[in-house]
Amino acid sequence: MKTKTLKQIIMAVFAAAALAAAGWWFFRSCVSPMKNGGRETSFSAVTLSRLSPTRQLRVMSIYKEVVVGRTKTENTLLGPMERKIYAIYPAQLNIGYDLSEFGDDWIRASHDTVYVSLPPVKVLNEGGQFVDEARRRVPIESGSWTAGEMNELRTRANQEMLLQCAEDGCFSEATAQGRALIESLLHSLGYRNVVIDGVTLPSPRTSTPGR
Amino acid sequence: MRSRVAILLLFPLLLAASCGKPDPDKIKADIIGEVNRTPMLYTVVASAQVIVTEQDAPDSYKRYFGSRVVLVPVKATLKAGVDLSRIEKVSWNADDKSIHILLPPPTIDIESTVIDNDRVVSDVGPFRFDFTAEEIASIASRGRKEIEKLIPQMDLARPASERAAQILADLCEKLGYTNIKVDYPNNPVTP
Repeated sequence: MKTKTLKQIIMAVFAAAALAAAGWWFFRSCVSPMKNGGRETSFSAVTLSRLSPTRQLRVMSIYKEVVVGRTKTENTLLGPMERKIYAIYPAQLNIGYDLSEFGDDWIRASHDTVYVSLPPVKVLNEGGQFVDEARRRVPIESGSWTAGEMNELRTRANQEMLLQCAEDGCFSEATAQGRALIESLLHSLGYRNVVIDGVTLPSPRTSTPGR
Repeated sequence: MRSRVAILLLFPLLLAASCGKPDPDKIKADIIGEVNRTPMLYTVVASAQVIVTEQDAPDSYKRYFGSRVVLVPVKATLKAGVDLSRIEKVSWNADDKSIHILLPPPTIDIESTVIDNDRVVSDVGPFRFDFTAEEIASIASRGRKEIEKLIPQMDLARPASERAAQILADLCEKLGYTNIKVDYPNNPVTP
């Protein structure tokens, strides 16, 4: 009889503890803004800075969403626990030419032919930033993450974007695209023949050019 | 009696387990790729910053459980220029070495955005959840929209068009044209 009563007491204590834990979770969830409305958002004035001139010709832009994540072990009251975070970063890589790097003699015209010497295409993003971090999504997240850890995640997303684009052959495609673009631009400016890096690209036009 | 206790034990655990479970299929569906081959001549680069503050509304009952405020600084890199595929008109004359180009209206793009994680400040009461990375991103996205909304009011379009006109005029000069005229909407310029 005593054993049975003891078991019942233990079960009741466990049930009460579980109910209390669920109640605490529910209470904190209720007062979390993510679950309910009642939020107020305000903005500071938008400041515009570092306005500077540039001379970039973008020939291709690649948009991707890259997934990066990491895990760590945190010591809690219940012992060491694994925490993880996986984030999806939208990213845009711009490839093209920096015209300020073109030499003085990059282009030369002679009668109806124009000779062009092009440098290799390059990444045009300022500061090597490809990700649109303000549009990131974090579908998997447990534990708390410091500013340093989030910065590291963003750096890895930038590296992953560059790596994926290089593996996809985007730079060789951008090189071909860039040559086609310069050729098309010079044809539209009146030249019948365009010679890029020693390769002649005849005009697809049948009409008489202006020069 | 035992079954009742088991139900009592299981119910809160199931309730807690059902909260916030990510759907792996949804994550996969969001991963896409796209290539844009539109040629852009970027002539102006700028940085825009906004600080987003989020807190409970003044009439919210949640305030009784403690404050929950966060300040999220968002920086965006903007690039302004002209879309060369949309050049309105090019006409040239070999005899007097003249050329006339009509540029399209300038375009202003957001190249990238960064949440200044080191300067995110929050004040969270003991009975409230900390801000998650997902929440911070959601708040930052509103800052991005604010920047996007104010782009037309930023004084970027005119310098972008002027510089694009200058760059194309320099190119035409190198090609031997002497009478060069580059126009852009409402603001004609003759370099």
